[in-house]
Amino acid sequence: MTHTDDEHAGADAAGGLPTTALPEPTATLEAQAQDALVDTITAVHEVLASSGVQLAPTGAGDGYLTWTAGGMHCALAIGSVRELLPSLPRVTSLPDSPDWLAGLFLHDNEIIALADPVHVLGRGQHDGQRRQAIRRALSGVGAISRAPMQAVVIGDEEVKLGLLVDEVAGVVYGMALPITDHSPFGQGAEIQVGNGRAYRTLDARALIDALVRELASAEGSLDDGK
Amino acid sequence: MTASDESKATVLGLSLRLLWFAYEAFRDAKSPDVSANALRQMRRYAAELGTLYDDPTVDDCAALCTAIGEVIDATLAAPTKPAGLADVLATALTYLRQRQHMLQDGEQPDAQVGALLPPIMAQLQRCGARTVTLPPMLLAAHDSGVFSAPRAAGGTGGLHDHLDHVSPALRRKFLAEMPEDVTQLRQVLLRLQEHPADEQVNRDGFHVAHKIRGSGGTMRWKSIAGLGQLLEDIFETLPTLQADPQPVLAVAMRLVDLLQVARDEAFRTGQEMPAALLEAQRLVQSLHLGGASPASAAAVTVVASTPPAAAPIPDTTRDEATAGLRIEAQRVDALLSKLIALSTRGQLMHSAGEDMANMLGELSRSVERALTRVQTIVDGDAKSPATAGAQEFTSSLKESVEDVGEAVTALRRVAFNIRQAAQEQDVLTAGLQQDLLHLRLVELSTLLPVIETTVRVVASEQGKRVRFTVRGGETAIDRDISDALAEPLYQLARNAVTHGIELPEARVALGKSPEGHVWLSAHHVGNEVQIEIGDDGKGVDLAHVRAAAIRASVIPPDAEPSAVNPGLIFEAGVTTWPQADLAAGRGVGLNQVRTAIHSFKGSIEMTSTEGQGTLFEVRIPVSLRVARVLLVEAGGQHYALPAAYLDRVIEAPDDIGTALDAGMLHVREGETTERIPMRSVEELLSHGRVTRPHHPVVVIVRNAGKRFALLVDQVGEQRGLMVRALPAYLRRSVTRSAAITAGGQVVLMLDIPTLHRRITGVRSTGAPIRQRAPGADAMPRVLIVDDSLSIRRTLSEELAQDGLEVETARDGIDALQTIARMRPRVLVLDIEMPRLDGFELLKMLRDSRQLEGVKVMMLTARTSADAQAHAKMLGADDYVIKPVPISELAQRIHKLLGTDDTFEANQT
Repeated sequence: MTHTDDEHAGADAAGGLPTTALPEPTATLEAQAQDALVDTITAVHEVLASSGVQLAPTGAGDGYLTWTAGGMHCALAIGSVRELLPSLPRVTSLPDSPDWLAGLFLHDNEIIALADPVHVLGRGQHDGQRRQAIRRALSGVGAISRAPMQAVVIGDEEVKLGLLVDEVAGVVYGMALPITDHSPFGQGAEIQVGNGRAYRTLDARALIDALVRELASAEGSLDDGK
Repeated sequence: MTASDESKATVLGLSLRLLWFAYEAFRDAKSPDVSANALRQMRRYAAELGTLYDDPTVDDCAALCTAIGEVIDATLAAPTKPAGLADVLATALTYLRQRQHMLQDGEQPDAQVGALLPPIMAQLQRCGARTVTLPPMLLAAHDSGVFSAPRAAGGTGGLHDHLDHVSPALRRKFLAEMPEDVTQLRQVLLRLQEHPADEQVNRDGFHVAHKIRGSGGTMRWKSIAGLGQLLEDIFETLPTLQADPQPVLAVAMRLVDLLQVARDEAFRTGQEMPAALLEAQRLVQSLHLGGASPASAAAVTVVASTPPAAAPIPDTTRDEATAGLRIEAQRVDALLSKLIALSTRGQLMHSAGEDMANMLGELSRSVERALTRVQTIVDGDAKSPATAGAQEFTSSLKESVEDVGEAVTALRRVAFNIRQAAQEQDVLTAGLQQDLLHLRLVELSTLLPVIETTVRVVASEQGKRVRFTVRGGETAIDRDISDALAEPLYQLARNAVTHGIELPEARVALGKSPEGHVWLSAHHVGNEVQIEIGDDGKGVDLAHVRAAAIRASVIPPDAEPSAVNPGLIFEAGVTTWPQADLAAGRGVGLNQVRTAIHSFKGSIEMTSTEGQGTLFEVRIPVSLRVARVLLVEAGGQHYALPAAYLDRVIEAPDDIGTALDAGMLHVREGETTERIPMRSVEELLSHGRVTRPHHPVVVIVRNAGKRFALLVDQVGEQRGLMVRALPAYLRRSVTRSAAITAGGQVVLMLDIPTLHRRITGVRSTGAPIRQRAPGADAMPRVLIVDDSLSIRRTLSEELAQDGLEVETARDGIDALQTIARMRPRVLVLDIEMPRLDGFELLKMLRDSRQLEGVKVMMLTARTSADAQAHAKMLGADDYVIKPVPISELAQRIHKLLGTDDTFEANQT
C-alpha cells in the first residue's frame, strides 16, 4: 500500500490528529463505530474472497504486523516493530501513572513502558475483567491460561514502548482502504486488509509520542508543571 | 639549555601563571572592589615578571610587562575602565605565554612572532600605556615588511591560531598514546632497581624519556617535555653514578608518576601542569646529581622529604603486577550493557521455561485423563467382546496415549533443565557484573600527586611550611567518580593551606610547631568512601562566617549567634576572604565544592575548632553505577532504598496505627525518646490509598542530619545493584532512578530527600520555607482534631506543603494531650468525635485558659445556625462546613494565622 499526500491531507481536513494523549470522552462511541466499520469491511472482504476476488494479493504492498487485543484487530507497520518478546517481561509499576501503563521493564538494557493498547484506545477504562487478565498475565498466573498475552516492542532508537497484546496474528501485506479515523493513533485514515480480515492501522510514532507526553505530564512527574 | 636556564624558565613560568590567576580573578570579578584588588595583584606580578626578563632576547616581554603595568595604573586612576580591557590584557598575556613556551624550547622570536607585538602594543596604548617601545630585535622584522599587515585587534583566538600551529587533534593524539611510554618507563625503572648496572635497560629508558621530551616539545606540552628532559638526564647520569642508585631510581619513579599526572591533567582539561614540573625539579635538585655533594646526602634528603606515611605515590610494584592490560572505561561499560541485556534475556528464558513447565503440567493431566478413559474402553472391550477392528483400534489408541504421556514426562524434564540453567545463568551473570564493575575501580592514590604538589606549591607561594600526609591511598573508587572528585579535593587541599595553616611565625607564637600539617585519609564505609581532609591551622572564625553570611543574605542581619554555624560557608556567596581569592580558589568557593560532590550523590560536612584546625568529611559512593540498597516491599511492590541513608530497621511498635495517624513515631534512644516524622511508603507513593500491612516494619532513614521513619510491609536484604536513571518521561519526584537486579528486574529507587521533603513540608529548593529561628514559635503550628483519617491526612499534607508544622489528633482526649505538648496556634476542630467531642473540648480549653493566643476553626458537617452560634460563644474564630475544598480550607487557616499573603504568593 502507499500513502499519498492526498490521503493525509484528507485526514487533516477532516479535523486533523488530536494533539491530546487522552482519548476524547466520545472515543468509546467512535471506537464502536469504527469496530462496526472494520467488521463490515471484513464481511465484505469475506464475501468477495468467497466469490474469488482477491482484494489483497499475498506478498503485495507494505508489511504489517497484525494482532488482537480486547477484541480489536490492529496492525502496525512492520518497520516500527522492534521485537516480539518470547514471554511476558517482569514489570514494575510506576507511581503516579495513567491506567493504561501496565508497568516498566528492562528491554535491551533500557527501561521502557509497557502499555495496554485497549486502555489507550479508550475501550478498557471500565473493563475490570481486562485489568484482571493483565494482572494475572503479568504476575505469571496467566501463563497457565489458554491464551497468555504477548508483548510487542515498538519504536526507534530514541524511544521504545512495549504493547501488551492478546495475540499476534502474523504479518499481512496489505492494501489500504481509506476511512476517517479521528483517534489519536490511527494512521490517518487506513484500514489494512489481509488474511481475510480488516485491521485498524496504528501509527506507532503518534502512539509513542502521545503516551510519552502523557507519562511526562502525569502528577508527580518531574516534568510536571514545567 | 643549562640547568640554571631551565630553572629560570620555570620561575618565569610560575610568575606568569600567577599573573594569569590574577587576570582571571579580574576578568571574573563581580564587584568593583574585587576587580580593583585583582588589578593591583596583576600590577605587582607584572612588575615582578618584568624584572625577570633581564636578557636582551626577551626585551619584547619586558616591554609588554611595563606596558601592562602602565595600563593598570591608568585604569586604577581613571573613574571608568577602558572598553575591552580584559580582552586586551588577555591578548598581551597570551603573547607572554607563547614566548614562555619558546623560551623553554630555546627558540628565538622570528618575524612571524614579531608581527604580533605592534598591534598588542597599540591596543595597550589605547588603554593608557605611555612608554610603548618596540624592542630592537623585532625592528628587523618590522623593516622586512612583516609589520605592514598587523592583525586586527581581536581576542586571544587569533593569536593562538598564529602561534600554536600544532593542531589540537595531534596534541591530543600524543597524549592518548603516552600511557604506553609511561608504562614502559615504569618497567625500565623496576628492572633497574633490581639490576642497576643493566646498560641495555638504561638505554631503553633513555630512549623513551628522549622521545617524550622531543615529541612533548613539538606538541607544545611543556611540562611533559620538561619531565621527559629530567628523566633523560637521570638515565644519562646513572651509568656513571658512583653512589647508591636506589634513591635516584626512587626519584625517577616519582617523576614518572608526575609525568602520568601531568599527562592525565592535559588529557582531561587540555591544560599544562607546571606544578608537576616544578615538583619534579625540586626532587631532582634534592639529589644534587650535577653538584659535588655525595649521593648519600641525596638519599637522606629524599627520605626526609617523603616519609613513608606521607608517600602518596601509587604502589608501583602492584601496578606492575596488575599492569597486564589497559582497558578503556567505555569498553567495560559496553560489556556491562551487554551483560545486562544478556541477563534480561536469561530472565525471559526462565519465564519461558516456567510457562512451558506449566503447560506441560496441564498436558500431562489431560493425557492421564485420556489414558484412564482409554483404559475403561479397553476393559469394557475385554468384558463384552467388540469387533476385532475396534479392539485393535482401542489398544493402539492406548499405546499412542502412553507414548504421548512419556513424551510429556521427557519434556517436563527438559523444561526443568531449562529453568535450572536459567537460574544458574542468573547467578553467573550477577558475579560477572560485579567483576566488571570492579574493573572500573581505580585507586584514590591516582589523584594524590596533583593534590600533594598543589599543597607544596601553594605553601611555598605563601611562605608557609606544610607537611602533607596521606592514609588509605589504596582506597578504590569508580573511575567516573575519581575524575569528578579531583577538582573538589584539589580545592579543599588549597583551602586548607590558604585559609587554615598559619604562617610559621604565627604558629610559633601560638605554641604550635612552625610546620603545619594537612592530611588526607580515605577508607571504605559500606558502599561509600569517606575521605577526610584536615589541617591543624586556625580553624573557622565564626564571627567572620556570620558577617559573611549576613553579607550574602543567607541569614538575617539580626540572626542570633546560635543560628550561625560553620556549615554556612558552604552557602552560595558566603566568603570570608575579602579579596579576589587567588590562591584558594580562582573564584571557586566551597559552594561549588559542595555542588560538585552532591552531583555525584556525595555529601560534605565540616567541623572546625577555632585555633585547632578544620576537618572536611566527604562521603561519596564507590560507584554511581552500582549502589548498595535495601530492598523493601510496600503495597505489593518492591522498592530499593539507598543504604547510604539507612539509619536502622526496627519492628513496628504495637501502637503503630496511632503513630501512623499522628505521623510521628517515638523512637527510644538510650535514656531519651525522640519523636520523628513517619509515613508509610505505600501512602507516600499512592496518594493516600493504603492497605495497612499486618506486620509492618519501620525503616528509619537519615537525610541532611534529620531522621524520619518509613513504614513498609517487608524488608529484604541489602544488595549492591546496578543503578540506572529512568528516562525523563518515567521519572517521578519520588522515584528518579531504578536499580536493576541480576535477573533484569527493574526496582524503583526511593528518592529519600524528596520523600523527606514530602513528609516535613520543605520545598523542593532544599531550603525550608520559613527559617526556623531559635525561638519557640518560628513555624506556625496547627493541630487538626478530626476522627476522619482522610481529613487528617490530606489537610496536614496540604498545610505541611505550605511550611506549617502540623499535628493531628483523633478526638478530644487525644487533642488535650497534644495541645499541652505542642501549643498550636491554630486548632482545626471537628464537632462529632468519639470520647470527647469538639464542643466539650473547646469548653474545657476555654475554662482552663488554654485558648489564649490560639485561633479555633470548627470544621464540621453540622450546618445549623444553633451549632454555629454555640461555637462562636465558646470562642471559635471560624466555622467551616464540610465538605469543603482542601485548598479553601488551607486558605482560611492561613487567614487565621495571618499568613495568607505568603500563602497566596506560594500558590501563584
